[in-house]
Amino acid sequence: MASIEDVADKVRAGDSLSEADSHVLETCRDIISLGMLADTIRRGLHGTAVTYLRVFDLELSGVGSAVVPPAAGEVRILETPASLDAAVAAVTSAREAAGQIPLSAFCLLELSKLPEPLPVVLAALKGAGLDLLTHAPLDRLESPEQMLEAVTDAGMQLARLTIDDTPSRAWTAVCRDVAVHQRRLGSIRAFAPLSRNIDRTQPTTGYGDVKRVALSRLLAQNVSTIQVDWERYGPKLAQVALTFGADDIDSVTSVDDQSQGHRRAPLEEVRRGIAAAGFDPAERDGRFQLRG
Amino acid sequence: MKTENIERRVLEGGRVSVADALVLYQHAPTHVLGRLADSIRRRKHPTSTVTYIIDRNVNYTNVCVAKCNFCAFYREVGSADGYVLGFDEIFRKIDETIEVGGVQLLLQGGHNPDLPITWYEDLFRAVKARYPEFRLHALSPPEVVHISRMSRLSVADVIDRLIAAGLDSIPGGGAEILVDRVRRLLHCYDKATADEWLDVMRQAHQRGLRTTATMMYGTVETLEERVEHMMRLRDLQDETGGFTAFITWSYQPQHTELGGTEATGVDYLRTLALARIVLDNVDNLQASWVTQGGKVGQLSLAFGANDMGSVMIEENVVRAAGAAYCMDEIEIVRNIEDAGFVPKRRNMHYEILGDPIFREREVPRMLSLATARADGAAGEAAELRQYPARSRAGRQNRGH
Repeated sequence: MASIEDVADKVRAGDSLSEADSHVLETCRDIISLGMLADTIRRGLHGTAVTYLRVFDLELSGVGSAVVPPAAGEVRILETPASLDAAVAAVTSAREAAGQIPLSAFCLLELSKLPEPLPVVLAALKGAGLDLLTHAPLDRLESPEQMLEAVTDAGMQLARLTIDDTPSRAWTAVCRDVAVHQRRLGSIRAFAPLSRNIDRTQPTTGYGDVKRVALSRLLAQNVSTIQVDWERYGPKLAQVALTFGADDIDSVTSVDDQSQGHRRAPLEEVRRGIAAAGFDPAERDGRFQLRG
Repeated sequence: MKTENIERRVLEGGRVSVADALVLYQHAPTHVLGRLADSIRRRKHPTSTVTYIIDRNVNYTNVCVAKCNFCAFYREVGSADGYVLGFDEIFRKIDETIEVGGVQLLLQGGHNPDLPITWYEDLFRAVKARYPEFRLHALSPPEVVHISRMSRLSVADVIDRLIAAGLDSIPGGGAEILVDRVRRLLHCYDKATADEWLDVMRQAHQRGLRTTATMMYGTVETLEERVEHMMRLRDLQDETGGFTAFITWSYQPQHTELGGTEATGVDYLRTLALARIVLDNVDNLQASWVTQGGKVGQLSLAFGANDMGSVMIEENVVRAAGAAYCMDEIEIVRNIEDAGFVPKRRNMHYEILGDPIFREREVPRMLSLATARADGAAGEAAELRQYPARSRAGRQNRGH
């Protein structure tokens, strides 16, 4: 039976990890060792850089009248309309409002529920000016590979692969699936491993969250970016996750409220948090291009 | 800078110097600090037990003449928002605490000039008469100094009288940073200098009381001053051995005069780990989930903490400054077990009291912490009229 030290040796040597190694990682209670290993991989891929994305969220009802702040690195429509026509109309208006700023919209799962075949839906949205699909919840896609392939075939990019709920199966199995999909498709730019749905009465734990981030970094090394959401999980956990393998922060507000002073403004908080974790902050846009 | 030599010394059980501590904090990666702190925790606590206490954090008054600029809780003498809890209100809080398995009150409050030492003595005696087994972990060193000044008694006499009335132990609040330069900047030098804070603890320890020690970091102190604080505690612990535990938390800036920003979660874990390394003579380190939230609170267990602190039930001070986290016993136990440890209830002396109460009997869930007064009402209880007030507002209020 391999130990965490054996797996660590493999990681440091750049060897691929077996299913038995995954089991060692899954059952490992030593969160510090997991963090160290994940950080080794993360620094090999990204050095000391941590990117962050400033997002301007658009409500469907407000798309037509939206004034997009120039600081936004991505304009995002989260709600998915009930019809393709409505989705195309929303994208058309948002595209106009966004100008040159990358536009992302919708959940792949929700789009797959529209009456039209998914390739038709994606082609229509692409034609209306959509750059990126906002997310695809891996745990809820019936045939993930087929659906992810449809995105690639439509010439679109998926902004992030996500998880809606805590899966009942081992997290290492989820990570290995992500790695397999990526090997076959090569289109997964970012994986956001923390659950989007948060149970307020029994939230996930700090150990559980950072372990999930660390295992994702270790077992899906062919996915460039492991992402955490500043807003959804809060600055403290998001920052700590950076030391457990995450390299990108999503959902930083594009409206920098400076009413309480520069140091307490959201952007400064993010940059200070990244630096305090020992990394160098770098702003990117929705297409993963560095800004300024 | 290389930290390997210091790391090796720590792993071999050696003591770190001021210079070592500074090098570690400035140059060791976060995981390395965690690993060192965890190795010390395992050496001190070889079983997989993580403890917690069920108690209630009661603030008997918010009226305070200290006016620390980092505090969002206090009200000035004569303020319409000022309050002093009545004995009956405190008894009700004790009843509620006992109902959920609680064993003590953590009783602290503002430096209210209109509460003479006899009020504290009467309160303690009344509590002990009604609840003989219930513990009073009460009055931080600056409060003891304040009572000493108000009553014109020595600190030693104040402690003796409070012990005689029922004081069981002293909480380590009001330490902030035990460096007078910092205390002057925080307007807390006058409430107690660093030496005065330490002297109260020394005298308490000499009388057989056990106490805790704390550190609030992230205001105006330098890293050197943070380390100096730890060193002063370590020196006193070498002398008396009276500290049961150390608790550190980050300054909470909202609604305070000082303002500014809160130190980050990684800062917290690094500071906690450094404290575990420096304070090699303090057995127990608590996780401050009330300022860091449950997630970073739980991760503290990998960075040197061996105790999840208190269920708390009520909290007023950090809430006033913007932190509003809550963990009831079920949530604390779930987090301890999820991290691979065995949860045990304890008392202030860190004696194990048993397994989680909610596994023995039904306990109501608690999804938010209570406040001093549920309705937010201000004012004093009627029995205060029998005590002399020093302030003009206090005398008017009591009809003296």
